[in-house]
Amino acid sequence: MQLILDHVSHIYDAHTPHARGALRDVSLQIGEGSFIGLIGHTGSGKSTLIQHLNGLLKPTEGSVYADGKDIADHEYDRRRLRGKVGLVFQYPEHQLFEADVFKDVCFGPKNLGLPEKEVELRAYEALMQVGLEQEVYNQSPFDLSGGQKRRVAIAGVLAMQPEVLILDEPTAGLDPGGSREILSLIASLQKERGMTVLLVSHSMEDVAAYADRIIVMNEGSVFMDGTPAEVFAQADALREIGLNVPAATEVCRRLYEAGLRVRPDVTTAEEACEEILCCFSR
Amino acid sequence: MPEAIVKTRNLTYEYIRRDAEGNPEGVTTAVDHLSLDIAPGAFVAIVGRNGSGKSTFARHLNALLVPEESAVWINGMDTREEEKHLDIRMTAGMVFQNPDNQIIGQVVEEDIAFGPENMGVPTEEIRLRVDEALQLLKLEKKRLDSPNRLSGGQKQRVSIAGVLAMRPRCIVLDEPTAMLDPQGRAEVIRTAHRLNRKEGITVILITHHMEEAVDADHIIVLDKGKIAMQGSPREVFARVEELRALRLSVPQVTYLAYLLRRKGLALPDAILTVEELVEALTV
Amino acid sequence: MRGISIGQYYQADSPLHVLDPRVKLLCTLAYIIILFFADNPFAYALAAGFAFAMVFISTVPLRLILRGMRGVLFLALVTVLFNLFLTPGEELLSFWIFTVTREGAEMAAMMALRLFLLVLASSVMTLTTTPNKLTDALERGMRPLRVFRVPVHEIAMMMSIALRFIPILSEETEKIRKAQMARGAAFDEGNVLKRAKSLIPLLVPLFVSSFRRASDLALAMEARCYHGGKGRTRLHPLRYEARDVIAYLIFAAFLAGMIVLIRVF
Repeated sequence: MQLILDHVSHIYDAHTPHARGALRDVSLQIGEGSFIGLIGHTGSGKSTLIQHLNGLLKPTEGSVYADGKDIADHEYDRRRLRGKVGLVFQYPEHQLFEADVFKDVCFGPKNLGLPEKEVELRAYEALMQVGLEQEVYNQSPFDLSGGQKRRVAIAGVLAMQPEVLILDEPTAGLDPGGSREILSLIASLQKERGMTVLLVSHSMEDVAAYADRIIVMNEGSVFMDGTPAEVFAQADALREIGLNVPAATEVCRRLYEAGLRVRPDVTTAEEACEEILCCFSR
Repeated sequence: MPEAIVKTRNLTYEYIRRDAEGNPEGVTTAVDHLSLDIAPGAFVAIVGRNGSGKSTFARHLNALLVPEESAVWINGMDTREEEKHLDIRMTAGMVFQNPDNQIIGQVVEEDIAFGPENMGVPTEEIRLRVDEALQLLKLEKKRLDSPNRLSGGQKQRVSIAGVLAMRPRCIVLDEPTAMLDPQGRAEVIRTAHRLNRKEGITVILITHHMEEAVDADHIIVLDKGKIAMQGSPREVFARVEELRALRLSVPQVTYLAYLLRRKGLALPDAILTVEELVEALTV
Repeated sequence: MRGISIGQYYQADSPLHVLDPRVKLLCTLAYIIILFFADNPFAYALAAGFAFAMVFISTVPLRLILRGMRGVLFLALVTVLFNLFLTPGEELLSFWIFTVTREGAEMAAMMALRLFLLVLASSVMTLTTTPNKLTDALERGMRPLRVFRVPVHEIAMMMSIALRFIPILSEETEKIRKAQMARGAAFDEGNVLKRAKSLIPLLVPLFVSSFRRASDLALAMEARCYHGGKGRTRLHPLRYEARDVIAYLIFAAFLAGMIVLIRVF
């Protein structure tokens, strides 16, 4: 699935005194099979942006095209679109409601109007993919741990078999162990299913470790868009809008400035380690 | 050494797990024979994975949970004595995770006044305390705002101000940053350090973000209700492998230094900042 | 929930804002009562004049108040229509099965005006008084009921907490709605039964979250030494000042004016 945002602007409460702009003239192409990190401050327009991708919000100006079709068109089937562009919101507590985990995961595919057998098959498959043990399937989703709830929420969207998976801060509130597990789960899902993943995150380190493209939002506009190396090479510009680069990048940059022969555009601890060792062995 | 402001001996808290029908399944020991002393004026970070017992422990410091056999003393007061509960809560204030679920007032200053009002502090004195708390938390301009209009970090500062107006000697922050963005998190941690340094208030910070514990005087790592390790930040952060096994993490720069050391580079133990690592590598 | 101004405090520095909430509560009540006795255009003119004077003094933009009253306007319209067509009397005009009478027209106009002024007055009160102060005033006002073991303090506290959580829960409802829509839920399709059923995925998470919030809040209140109304002091205790007495006097003058107009015409 190819998603194109064409000069999209969004104003909340347009035509009222409360009007405030959330997106300003955003043009983006979200392509096939990539792992995209979306970063920016609270209020930079990230949430507004992702809600345009599955038609939960309509642009005040501009258009969103999914595979060439304008999703704001009256006859466009936005419900089907939501099956193709899966969106997992930040708190699983906002979507879990069924008596047991399995039924909850069935909710999405059922809404797509699939036959019961297919619904159950998909739910089963999705639960397997997020790595939940079978004994959890008939438990109440409210009795699970934070990490498990998160998995159920992801499975609930995966069961619709989306081609694009958007996750809004999927690690919020999890401990570091839980975060690591969820992130590597997402990375493996992306590889195995060839999905496009859009990960909204506040952690530069996480984004650097997993994404092959980073979009930086600031004040409703796209501030940067490139590979992690390209984006984090502009540490000063990022700092100006109050964002940091990963510590590993910062270390290498400073070493480079101090005259050491290390590449300043590394983005992960492992890369930095290799670079520094290389430099010291020379 | 002055008398400990928080003292626990063999603190144990167990609860019965029940299945969906309400039948007992087994007993979980959330806090397991925990004994520790926290000196007045200290900044102590208690870290641990979700479910390590850290929040259950925190609730004992405020007499929200009371042990049956073991004991907790707050500034010498035994939390098992119910008539001391108000005194205990005035001595050890508590800030919780979700700012929305602990702000009672509909206007910032009215919320800050809630504690002193409950304590029966005279009106003029409440005014004084509220103003002081507003000033310490840099919230003067938000005095008359609705808490709903504030950012997450500001809301948590209101929560802290509300506790501060009770003039506690100790503040327990129970995962105060779990629901905040990085700016909000930094805001809250900075505030906690400032209150500790300038006002001499004992701070007990409960968190699972190791980065937030970097500037603490002392770190206690909990796992399964027991102390898994403790020491100064440097001592604790040096044990990267063990921390990861406990489902915790170290700051990326510490991890990088650890990787380099493992590959044979001569670096000091537990590097905590980018500056330290760069300096160590360039001299 | 945005755009509903009843109950939404409007921050400003007007003479109405600083008045003791008991003054505002009592006078609003008295105003509403006297409205029901008003039966001639002169009395209505005075009542309307007084209400608009209060709006002016309050410095709250009239547009904001009117927008908040949109919901009530619908109710007013229904009332007006009922009165317009169903009041017997001297026929003014008639078409098909509808007949408009002179009495009906007068009644409808009066009802519309009465409802409008009633809501306008209450809006001015809630816009100029923080809900906290309002509950304070209620607590004080209802104090005599304590004799009958009515838990006055608890009721006031519950009201104030409810008011604090309304915006939070409405925001949360919106988030849940979107999360479920992202899973293909539709809330505006099918017949009544289907629609009611489609609300389950919305209501369950909302209830679960509300219970969680309630227990969190109870804990937080306990941690801040809350132990009921006994021995509580207040940051803003209610004390009548000179300006409150003046306000009462002005209102008394208005009342007297109303009574005269009602009696004379």
